[in-house]
Amino acid sequence: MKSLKKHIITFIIYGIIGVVLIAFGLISHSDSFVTSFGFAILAAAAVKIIRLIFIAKAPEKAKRFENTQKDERYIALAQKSGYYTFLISVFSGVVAGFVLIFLNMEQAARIVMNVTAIEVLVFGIVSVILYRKY
Amino acid sequence: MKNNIETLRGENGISQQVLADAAGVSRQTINSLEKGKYNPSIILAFKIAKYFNKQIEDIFIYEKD
Repeated sequence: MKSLKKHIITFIIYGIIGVVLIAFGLISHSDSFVTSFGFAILAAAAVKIIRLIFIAKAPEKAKRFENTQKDERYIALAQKSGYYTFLISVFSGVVAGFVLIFLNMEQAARIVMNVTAIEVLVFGIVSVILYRKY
Repeated sequence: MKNNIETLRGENGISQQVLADAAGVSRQTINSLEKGKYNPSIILAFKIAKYFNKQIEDIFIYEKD
């Protein structure tokens, strides 16, 4: 039930963020995008919370949900997909940087390249820490 | 790595879901193991072996390449 509760709390936080955005959009009379975005987050969080509450009410389903969250294959696949996402993100950053230079948008290119460099740096530092730890 | 999970399950009349619940993994993981798509961690291998009351090497067979 620990993982299930954690998920419910996470989506409650998302819901609160949605409510805050809606309130901000309505009070500040700003762009309707903020309000719509708030409604979208709130609706998605509400659907997820309802689904999780239904799972929590059925002990068998709750146990399966917990098993899925701790499942080693699930974790391994998530790590693998995260690694590929990182590689694509770095590659896209470099390509975007060069395209921006080509379009004479040096300021934007510098920002994109710096963000990509920070990403690679963080990856390197985390890798060294993990190699030393395990 | 090959394994006899499917055979053992058949012999004992156990469904993938029952084994998955006992081993603390999802049914999809048991399915992946049976199809040889995924190799388990040593802990999962121990759990499965213990469930069937067997040694790990009775269930999982190492194959070079």
